[in-house]
Amino acid sequence: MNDFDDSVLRDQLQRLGGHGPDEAGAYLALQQRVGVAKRRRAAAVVGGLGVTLMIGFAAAAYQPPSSSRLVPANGGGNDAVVTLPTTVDNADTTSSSTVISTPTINGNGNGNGNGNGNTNSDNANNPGNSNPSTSAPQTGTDSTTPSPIDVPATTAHTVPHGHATTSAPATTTAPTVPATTTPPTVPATTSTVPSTSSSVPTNFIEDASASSTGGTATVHLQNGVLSLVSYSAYAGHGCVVDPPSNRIRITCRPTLFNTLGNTSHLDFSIGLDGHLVAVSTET
Amino acid sequence: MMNDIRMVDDLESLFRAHHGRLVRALTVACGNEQIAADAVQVAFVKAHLKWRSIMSYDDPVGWIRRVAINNMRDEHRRESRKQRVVDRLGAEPEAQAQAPQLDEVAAMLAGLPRQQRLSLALFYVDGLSVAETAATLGISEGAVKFHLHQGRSTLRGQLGEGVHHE
Repeated sequence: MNDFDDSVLRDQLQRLGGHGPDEAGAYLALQQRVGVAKRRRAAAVVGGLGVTLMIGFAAAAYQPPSSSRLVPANGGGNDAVVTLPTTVDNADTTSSSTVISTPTINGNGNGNGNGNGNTNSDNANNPGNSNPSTSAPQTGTDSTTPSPIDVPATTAHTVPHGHATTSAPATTTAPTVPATTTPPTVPATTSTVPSTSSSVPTNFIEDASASSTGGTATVHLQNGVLSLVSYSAYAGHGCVVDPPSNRIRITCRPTLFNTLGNTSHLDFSIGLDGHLVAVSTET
Repeated sequence: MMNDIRMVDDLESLFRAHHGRLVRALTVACGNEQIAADAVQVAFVKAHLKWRSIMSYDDPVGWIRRVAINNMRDEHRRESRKQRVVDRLGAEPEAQAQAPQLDEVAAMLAGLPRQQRLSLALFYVDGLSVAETAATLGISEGAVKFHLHQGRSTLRGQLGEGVHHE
């Protein structure tokens, strides 16, 4: 320190530095600049949060197109086995027992549907058992006398695939429109009556209405019987009821200009699960 | 809340104790009081925004001093670029009004290397020791002594007897 102590040079340099700024004014200016800097920082933080939230919402709302692809229930393939447990609530019997039947559609005939008609004696001995593997006793030899409420009359339907069989328990009322399977193709517009229970009764009562470009129709399902309640055509259209064996079809055509407009069809049928299925198509 | 008030009080007392000296020292180092004042004020603003961490440093004033010197260097670079543009355009440089004697000293200081100017300013104007000057500039004490010796010899040689008999 002493080696470089030079009072003359120190005075010269200090005079060159001037008197210095006003401390009070400088501190006031400092406070103002600090306020500005804090506001800028807060604005940057708020802006960053806003951008982050916007990006988050956008990412959450974005659905890739591939996510809406329809996938078959069993992963696709023609040999899919669809097993639907069906609960028969026989209202005509005095017993409150429930028979669980499993109509099985086996695409290749190798499924677990017991399509040979063998009787499962365990279920016959235990009427209250709700084992879904129960099938209709037809040719069994070791079966015991079935319960009065277990009416095992079998109605075998051939599924359009040609290999599958359906074992469905008969109810006390013979259905005029038997249950059948719907084609696996997805129609243009499909409305299905919603179901809230896991076990589907076969004698439930349902009403379903559907509309197309030509008119509307309402059908009623009770005990497996499908009946047309009402139908009406829109202005300029005429509707014709065409009841095939297993469904009700209402065909609506434009009446004013036959060459213009589309012909629409309303098809009501009973699905695999026993519910009403309404399909509206246009040709 | 009380801690915030105490922190602000600490910063304010620090500001009042060191702001003027630091501005004068940087004015000597860069030759422009406005640039020096702005550089010091920006350094205190940065210190205010992060005072919670800076106050735990061993030498908060040293941190502020280093930040101010860096700000002054950045501003000096900007001014140099601007001056080069002005020179290319052929405009007259701004004249600085100072006393003749101080103008002479300032001109001689301007001819010194930057490290020598900073060493002289921090040592003679800000009143730092050799060790503190070395710590502020990030160089060794021997280097600071060298810069002080070279700078003082240059100023004495150019000012001649006028400096000694002032």
